[in-house]
Amino acid sequence: MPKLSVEGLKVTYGPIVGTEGVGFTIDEGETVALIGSNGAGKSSTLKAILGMVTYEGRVTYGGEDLKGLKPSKVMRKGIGFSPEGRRVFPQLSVLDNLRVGGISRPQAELPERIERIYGYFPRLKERHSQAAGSLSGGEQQMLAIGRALMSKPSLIMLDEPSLGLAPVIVERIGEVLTEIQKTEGLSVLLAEQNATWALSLSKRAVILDLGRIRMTGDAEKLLDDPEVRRAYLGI
Amino acid sequence: MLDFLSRLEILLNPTVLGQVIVNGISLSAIYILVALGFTLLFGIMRVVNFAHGEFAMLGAFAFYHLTKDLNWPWMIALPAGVIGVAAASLVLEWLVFRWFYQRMFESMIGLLGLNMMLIYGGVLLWDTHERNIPAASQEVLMLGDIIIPIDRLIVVVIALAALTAFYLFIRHTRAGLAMRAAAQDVETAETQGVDTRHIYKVAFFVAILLAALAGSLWGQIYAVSPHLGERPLMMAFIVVILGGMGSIPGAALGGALLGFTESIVGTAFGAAASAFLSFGVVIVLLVFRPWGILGTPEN
Ligand SMILES: Nc1ncnc2c1ncn2[C@@H]1O[C@H](COP(=O)(O)OP(=O)(O)O)[C@@H](O)[C@H]1O
Ligand SMILES: [Mg+2]
Repeated sequence: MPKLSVEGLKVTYGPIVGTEGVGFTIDEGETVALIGSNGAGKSSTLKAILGMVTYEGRVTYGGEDLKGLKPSKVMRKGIGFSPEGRRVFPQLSVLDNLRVGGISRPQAELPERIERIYGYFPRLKERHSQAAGSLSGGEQQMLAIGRALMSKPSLIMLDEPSLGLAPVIVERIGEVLTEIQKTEGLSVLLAEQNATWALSLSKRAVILDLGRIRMTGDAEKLLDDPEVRRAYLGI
Repeated sequence: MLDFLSRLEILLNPTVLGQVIVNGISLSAIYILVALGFTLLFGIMRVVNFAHGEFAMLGAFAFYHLTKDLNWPWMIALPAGVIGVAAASLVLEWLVFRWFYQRMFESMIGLLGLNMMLIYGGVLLWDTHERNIPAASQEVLMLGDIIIPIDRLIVVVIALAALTAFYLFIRHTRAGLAMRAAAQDVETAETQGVDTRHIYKVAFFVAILLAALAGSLWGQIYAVSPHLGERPLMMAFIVVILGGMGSIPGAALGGALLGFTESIVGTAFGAAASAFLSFGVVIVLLVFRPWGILGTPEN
């Protein structure tokens, strides 16, 4: 049985359609990329799964229907979230940002959890007392991922983690993501415009266009597909 | 000019100076208590609580009735009244406030209406005559030439203790952390596990608790009437504009500035001069630095 299952998802904003007829599954420990250009419906899909927007269709996690739960309840089922644009709490310190991420866990667990995240991202440890708003874009992204990991999720959803970052930083974040996924046994849903990078990190991918699914399949095969290469990889 | 200087000279008299300092501290502490709750409600729920002063009024009446009618000692009546008012106010949170969360403009109008309802509800219940809460102590403390009434000292100590408790709560508890996160970005806080509906209730309770306490202390110094809330609200408003809407250190700084200005200018030149100056500063600040001394500009 898949860990996450999305069926016939439809998100609307008044007359505007965010996504329609979107469906896919993610298995335990698997990375799935959700690829599409600006406005394709990636964020709408992630927000629906998390309960940030209302939707038609069905989302189940570990067999449990998530409809009607608010985000603070959905995340307690084991779904971590790093939002588009990072959205760190700018005036809180790096450490306090991580603590907020761990707010759903027993207090006693936090120090060990924080040390673990500092292990993945040593830069965060160096800057632990600094206001998150004063970090560089790459550091803020690391913090957003670290914050999402604080709740010990079994699935982590990342909304455009590469957005606006220099290629070296993007590469570095990709390496750490792979490491984290191995050690934590995580499932990952990676929403990205940077298709080459996302496909290189995932096993399977869903390609969205104008709110609908354009293609799905193995990441490797999609990387070789002439149409995908032309439309999304700029090759 | 000579008159101006001679009025300032009054302040050098040790007895007057002692009073100015004690007044300054107690006024500052009370203004900060009211302003902290006001700024907390704005910072987290984006409501401008024009009814905030009325919770101070309710706190003062609770304290009055518990001490005067039930003869409870003040040490019990004060916390009981304050907690009782805050708990009872949760009904208003459910009936009125929650509909205005994250709706700043509607909240101003709606809560101005609630303000009026509470004032005139108070007039119906208690009419408009002023009542006095018995002083906690009749004794005075002599420090050289400086005379300090003990009941004023009690007010100062309680207010400072409450401010310290609030600071520790915000800095060192989970609920405090959740509030600080929600004040910055409610939507993201919810996705990271903060139950924002619950945190709104906790923030509301704390804000009303502080206002009711400020009102009780205010009633102990001055007098209790249904109009008691107007001045603390006005002062909280100035404090929050001075310090920056939603800024907790700003509320502390603004309250201290206002309390001491009122005490010093009021003693030398009268209450009218101090009010004139305070509101003048607010207007100048709103023109040149609308986000306050310690606030941050909204984008
Ligand atoms: N809050 C909103 N209000 C109105 N339209 C929205 C809102 N959020 C997204 N949309 C619209 O929904 C569509 C999908 O957007 P989104 O899910 O954000 O795509 P992506 O994340 O892939 O860029 C776009 O046409 C976008 O303009
Ligand atoms: Mg998006």
